[in-house]
Amino acid sequence: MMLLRIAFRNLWLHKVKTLIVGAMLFFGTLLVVLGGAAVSALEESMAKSVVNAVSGHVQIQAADAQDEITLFDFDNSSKDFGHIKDFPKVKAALEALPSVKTVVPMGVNFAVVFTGNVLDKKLTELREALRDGKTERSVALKDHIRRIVADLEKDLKNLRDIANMDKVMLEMKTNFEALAEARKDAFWEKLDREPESAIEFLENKVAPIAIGEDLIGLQYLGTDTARYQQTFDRFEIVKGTMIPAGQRGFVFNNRAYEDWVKNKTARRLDKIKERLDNGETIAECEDCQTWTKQNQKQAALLVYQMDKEHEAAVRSALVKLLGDDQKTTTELLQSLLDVNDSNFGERHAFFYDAVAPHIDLYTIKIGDTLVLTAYGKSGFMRKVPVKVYGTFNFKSLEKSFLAGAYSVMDLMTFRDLYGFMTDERKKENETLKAKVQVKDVSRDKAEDELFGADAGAGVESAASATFDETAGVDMHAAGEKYTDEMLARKYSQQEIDDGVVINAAVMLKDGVDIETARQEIEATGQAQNLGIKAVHWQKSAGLVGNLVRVISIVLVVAIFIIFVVALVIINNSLVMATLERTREIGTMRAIGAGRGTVMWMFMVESLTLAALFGTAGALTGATTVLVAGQVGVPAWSDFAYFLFAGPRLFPTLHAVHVIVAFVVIGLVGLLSTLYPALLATRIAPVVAMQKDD
Amino acid sequence: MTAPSPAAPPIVDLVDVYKIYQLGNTEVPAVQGVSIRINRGEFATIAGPSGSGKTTLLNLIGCVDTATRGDVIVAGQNTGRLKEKDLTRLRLFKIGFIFQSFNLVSVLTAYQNVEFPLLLQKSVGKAERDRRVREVLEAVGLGTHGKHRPNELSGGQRQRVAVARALVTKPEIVLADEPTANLDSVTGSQIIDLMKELNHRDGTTFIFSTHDAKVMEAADRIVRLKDGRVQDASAGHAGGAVAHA
Ligand SMILES: Nc1ncnc2c1ncn2[C@@H]1O[C@H](COP(=O)(O)OP(=O)(O)OP(=O)(O)O)[C@@H](O)[C@H]1O
Ligand SMILES: [Mg+2]
Repeated sequence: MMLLRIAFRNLWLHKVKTLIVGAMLFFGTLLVVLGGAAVSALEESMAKSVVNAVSGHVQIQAADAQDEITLFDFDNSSKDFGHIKDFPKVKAALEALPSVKTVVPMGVNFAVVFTGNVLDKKLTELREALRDGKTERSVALKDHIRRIVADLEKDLKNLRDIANMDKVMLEMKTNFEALAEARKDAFWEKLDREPESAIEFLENKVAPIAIGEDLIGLQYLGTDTARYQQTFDRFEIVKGTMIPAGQRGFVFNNRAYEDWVKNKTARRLDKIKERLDNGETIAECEDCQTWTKQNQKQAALLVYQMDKEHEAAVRSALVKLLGDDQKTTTELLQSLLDVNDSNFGERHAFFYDAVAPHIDLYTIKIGDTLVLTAYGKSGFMRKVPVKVYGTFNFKSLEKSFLAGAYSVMDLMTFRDLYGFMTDERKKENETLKAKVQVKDVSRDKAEDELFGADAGAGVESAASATFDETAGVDMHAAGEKYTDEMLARKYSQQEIDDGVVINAAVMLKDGVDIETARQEIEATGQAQNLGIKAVHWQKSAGLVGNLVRVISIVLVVAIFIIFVVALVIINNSLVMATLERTREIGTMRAIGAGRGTVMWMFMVESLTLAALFGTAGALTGATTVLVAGQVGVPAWSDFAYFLFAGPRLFPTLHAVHVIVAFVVIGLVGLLSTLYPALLATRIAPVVAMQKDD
Repeated sequence: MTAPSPAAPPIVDLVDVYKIYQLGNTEVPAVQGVSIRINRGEFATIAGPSGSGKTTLLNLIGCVDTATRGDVIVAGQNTGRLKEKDLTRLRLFKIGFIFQSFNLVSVLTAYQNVEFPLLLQKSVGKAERDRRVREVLEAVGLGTHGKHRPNELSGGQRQRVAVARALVTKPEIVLADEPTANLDSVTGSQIIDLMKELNHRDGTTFIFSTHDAKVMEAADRIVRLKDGRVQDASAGHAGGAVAHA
């Protein structure tokens, strides 16, 4: 009615002010709708990937565990997640709940693999070739090894020729000084401040000293592999096959496999290609230039891997490509690897066509038996052989660091590495060992071998009664027969379930509220005395789970600030308007308008403004979300890729966000008007009578 | 014009009214012991030099201000005893205002300005409202200017709109504080003539203040103020009102 008309006319008359305030309200609402949709889409995608890759909806662990389970915390080594006492009982009890779909036993740990240097590897191959009577292969291998030996001799001679003893001693001294420097805390503090110079120091002074074995660190998840594969739909085999049901085995996380197991030169070429596929250029990509330089520097390592025939094949291809037959193979490879934006495509293809087949592209091949070394809970180093069956990805998470976090192995191997055994397992182990006449590695020997002088910590842990007496075992040393028998063995479901389980993932049925189910699980645990507690996946995912929360907090704060600013500005401009309109308001009061009417006049004006621009903002936001929900928001970086749990984020429109937007904007409208409106109601009717001046 | 019957109660009755403003520590007496009666249908003017208390007196009668002392009885109600809400109602239903500087709501058209008090009254239906707004606009000679906004009208036309707005509620009394001060003398006297005509036609009581001797001539009765006191409340040529000093 009249007030609305006055409101409209006032808004129209003060167009600039209306537009400024309106724009803020517009963007505020837009942000609420967009932000709300984004956060819940992120939450959903994050939930989808974390829940369906590793965590399940709820994680359970021992109620008396020292630390709460954190799946993506990379410093888990010092934590104790306890272990679930009677997993088969827990599993049965929880799977009886109507909201629970599956319970998958798990455990996370860290192990290292020593891959050995080229000479080691060639010697192993030679031994096998000779054993299997592959004459041709062994001839080639012998030749290769002789070449390596020759190279070593040459290197050593060079050293002797150029150096008198003083020089050798001097070099030693320099090396020790470099190592001592790199051991100092001050050095690492300096690295934090000036990373470039410190890293360069490590590269130039320390790396060359390192020789011999290559060490790969692996974070892994031990689980009931068959159940795991059935339950977690993000899990997808990339190379090879899944571990056969009930058997021991290991599947590499494909990303870890590529990053750590693949030949470094090939990997660096891959990474450059990835960047170029992302639209970058080598000229502008500093990493690409660094990788190119490293590739050239390490070209000799590729040649080192080739026997005579392979080298000849690579060389002739290189000569054909580069048209220069004066250079050595290493020099030719160096030229090949000197890539730039114009030649990269050709060189990359050439590398894979003509060079890769002649080198070990992966230091561990699918089908190999790995020896994993881990510090078990007893504090002793434990070596366990396991067969590599393949590699896997978490679907559409290939690029996220989440994907690189875990490799997967069976629970038996996990338990052996973890070092905690139930009595049954212990007994079974004894029988098995007796059967194959295992030679026990004595504890003393293990300590000496593995810890050297620093064995103190290990002894202390070993004193703990909970851990088994076979601590410090080297199952690999038990011999091939034992290994083969163990690796081929098929374990029953009961054997798999009935042993140490650190934690377990509970997958709920569709549409079940996670928190409600979590409480239900805890209640069941208490009622049946299962000794477990249930942790929401968001909590168990640690940093990753909190990320969404952090993002939404940032968003809420941003929205809050926008609205506070809007509130202050609207308030100020209305106070000004009140002062400007004193006479008009006084007149209205004089001719019979009550305080209420005046109050309403202001409220209607603000609410009209809020409704107009709020609707516009909400509509724009809703349309954007709907369109984005169809098209998807592309991930612009690896981090975004991770957040989006895939190449694109598909936000969905929730009525709640639109409603919240309107409530918030209405509130802002009312709050900002309260004070000026109150001022206006205090204007006395007498002012209408005052003279113009 | 109907002759006021001496038995009828006066529409305005001021009894020994004081209005003393407090300016810091000093007291400014604007109205001092004023007693006047104004009967229904009178066309009265309050005259006096600047600062003599004309506006103050009109404010007291118009219930937009309250007396420091004394009784102000308007349309039978002792305003000193009314609550703010009732004063507002009294203004809305019984009193019409015409201001020196017109005081139209600038964002509304002439028609809407006139309609405004009827909307505030809430009791008048849409059709009746429209009829009355048109009628009163016609009466002030602005039948064709309803759609104009104040800034599209001349000073005289604006004051006519103000007159229409004051009259549309059919008030018992119309107060005008120097309604012609912002108009040239020709337009000013046209407005006074209009007011007078409406006073004759409907018998509405008019009380207005002015400095202008020519304007005073139009009044039935002149109340002369000086320093907040009534100098001379003699009847004009039409006579009729009593001032009991
Ligand atoms: N709000 C106020 N506070 C203090 N003093 C006031 C106030 N309003 C009026 N006065 C004083 O009261 C006296 C009467 O003022 P009033 O405005 O009634 O005179 P007036 O006759 O209307 O004068 P004018 O012809 O100039 O309009 C003056 O001395 C004036 O200064
Ligand atoms: Mg005055």
